[in-house]
Amino acid sequence: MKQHVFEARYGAEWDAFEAWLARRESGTKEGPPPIPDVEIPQRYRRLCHQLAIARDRRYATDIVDRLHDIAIEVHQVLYGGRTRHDHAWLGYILGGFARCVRSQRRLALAAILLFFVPFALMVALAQVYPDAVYYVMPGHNLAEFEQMYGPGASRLGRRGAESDFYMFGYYIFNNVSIAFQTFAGGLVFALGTVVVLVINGVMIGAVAGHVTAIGYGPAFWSFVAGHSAFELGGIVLSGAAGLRLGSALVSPGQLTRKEALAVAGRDAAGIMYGVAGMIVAAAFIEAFWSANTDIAHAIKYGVGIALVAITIGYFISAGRARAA
Amino acid sequence: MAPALDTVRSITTPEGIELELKLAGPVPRACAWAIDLAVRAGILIAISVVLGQLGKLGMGLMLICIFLVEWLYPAVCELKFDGATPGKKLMRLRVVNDDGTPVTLAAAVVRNLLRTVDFLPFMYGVGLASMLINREFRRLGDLVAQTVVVYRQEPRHAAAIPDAPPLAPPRPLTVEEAHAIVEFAERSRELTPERAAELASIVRNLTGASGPAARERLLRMANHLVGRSP
Repeated sequence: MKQHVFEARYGAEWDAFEAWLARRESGTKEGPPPIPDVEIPQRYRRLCHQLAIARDRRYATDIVDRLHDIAIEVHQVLYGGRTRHDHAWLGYILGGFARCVRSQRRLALAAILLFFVPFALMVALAQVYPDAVYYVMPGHNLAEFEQMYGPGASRLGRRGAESDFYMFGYYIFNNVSIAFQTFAGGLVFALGTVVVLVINGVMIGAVAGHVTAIGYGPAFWSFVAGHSAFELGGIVLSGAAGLRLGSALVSPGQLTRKEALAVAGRDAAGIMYGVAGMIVAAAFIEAFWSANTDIAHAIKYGVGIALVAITIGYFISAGRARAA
Repeated sequence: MAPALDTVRSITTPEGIELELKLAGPVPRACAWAIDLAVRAGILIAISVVLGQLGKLGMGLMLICIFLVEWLYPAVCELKFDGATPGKKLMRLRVVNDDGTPVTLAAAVVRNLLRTVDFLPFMYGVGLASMLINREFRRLGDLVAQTVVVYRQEPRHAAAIPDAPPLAPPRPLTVEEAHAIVEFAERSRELTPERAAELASIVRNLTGASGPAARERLLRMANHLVGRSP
C-alpha cells in the first residue's frame, strides 16, 4: 500500500484520536466524545499496528511522527494511574504506614540508636559535669533556653510573646524541613542522615541536660512530653528512610546501585508520607498544648506517656492482620 | 532503534511498538525551574500582602504557606497537571516514569524531596553533575524515583507534499532512496527554491537534470512514490 492510500484510508481514525486527546486535555464534557472510551484500547492497538507498518515501510517522517505522538499520549492514558485507589490514604493511616516502618525495622532501630544514644549521653553528662554543654553550644543560646523554661515564662519554649498560631507555623516549617533534610541526607551514602541524627541528639540532649541541671527540669520535661512522641518519632523515622537510601548505595546486594536506589526510593516514600503527618501533628500539639502553663505537669506527663505508648503500639501492631 | 548518541529513551510497549521519549537536558530544565521560582515567589508575595494585615496569626499562616509552597508545590503540580509544574508546562516539558507512564505519587514525592541533595553544594551542583554523567539527564532525585523529564510534543501540522503530476523514477529505488525523496519533498516548502534546487542537483543521475528542473522532477517522483494518481 502506498503512503497516500494509507493516509486516505486511516487518516480519519487519527483525526478522531487527536480530537479525543484534545478534548481530554481541555477537560470539557460537552458534546459526544470523538471516540467512546470503551473503544479506546481496541482502537489504540490498531493505531500501534499502523505505526509499526508506517515505520517498517519507511513512510514519510511526518506520518510516523504523527502516529508516534498519538501513541505516546494514549499510552500515558492507558497505562497510567494503575495504582490509584479511593481511600488509599485511610488504609495507609490505619496500618500501611506501620507496615512500611516495620519492613525497615532494623534501619528504624539504627536511627533510634543514632539519635537517642547521643541524647542520653549528653543528658547524663550534663548532670555529672555541667560545663560539658558549653563545648557543644554557645553560652548565649543556652541562656535563651534558660529563659524559655525559667520560672517567669508565661508560655514555655518561646523566646518572646509569640502567639500559639505563629509557633504552629514555625514548628511545621522548621521541623518538616529538618525531617526532609534528614531523609535526603541518606543519598550521601547515609552520611548526611547519620550526621543530622547525631548532631540533633547531641544538641537536644545538651539543652535537656542543661535546663535539668539548673533546676528547670519540670518545666522543660512537661513541655516536651506532649509532642515528643510525634516529633522525635518523625525525625527518627525520616532518618530510617534516609538510611534506607544510604543502604542501597553502601550495600546494594544483588542489584546494581541504580536499581537498588529505585527500590529504596519506594520503601522510603512509604515512610515519608507518614513522617510529614507526624510532624504536622507534633507541631499542633507543641504550639497549642505543650506551651500552655495552665495545665498541671502531671496531666502533661500523663498525656505524653499515653501518646508514646500509642505510637509504639501503633508501629508494633497496626496493620498486622492484612499483612499476613 | 534510537541511535546510541541521541538523547532519546526507547521503551517497548505491550503492543509491541517502540515509543521514543525525547529527554530534556539541563538548560530547559533550569529555565523551567527559574520560572517556577518566579511563580512561587509571586504566590508567596501575594499571600504575604494579605496575611500581613493579620499580625501574628498572619505570620503563622505565612510560615505554613511557605512550607506548602516550598515542599508541596512541585510534587502536587506534577501529580495533578500531567507531570508538569507551570514552569515545565511553559518549557513544554513533563515528568514521566521511565516506562513512559504518568508520574506516580511515590515518584513525585521522592524526586521532589531529594531536591535537597541535588541542590548541594549550591544551585543544583550535584544535580547538574548527575545529569551530565547520566545518559538520560537524570538528577539524583530522578534516579531514585525512576523518572525522566521529557519534551512534550509540539502540535504539528503535517507538511503535505506539494502537488505535482506523478512521475515514475527511471529505475527501481531502494527503500532508503525512496524515503529520502519523500522526505525531501516534505521539507521542500521550508527550503528556499535555490537551496531545494541545489539539493536536488546532487542526484543528477536520477533526475537527469539540474537546478529548478531537478527539484521539479524530484517532487513529481515523490508524488508517484506516495501513490498519488495522475
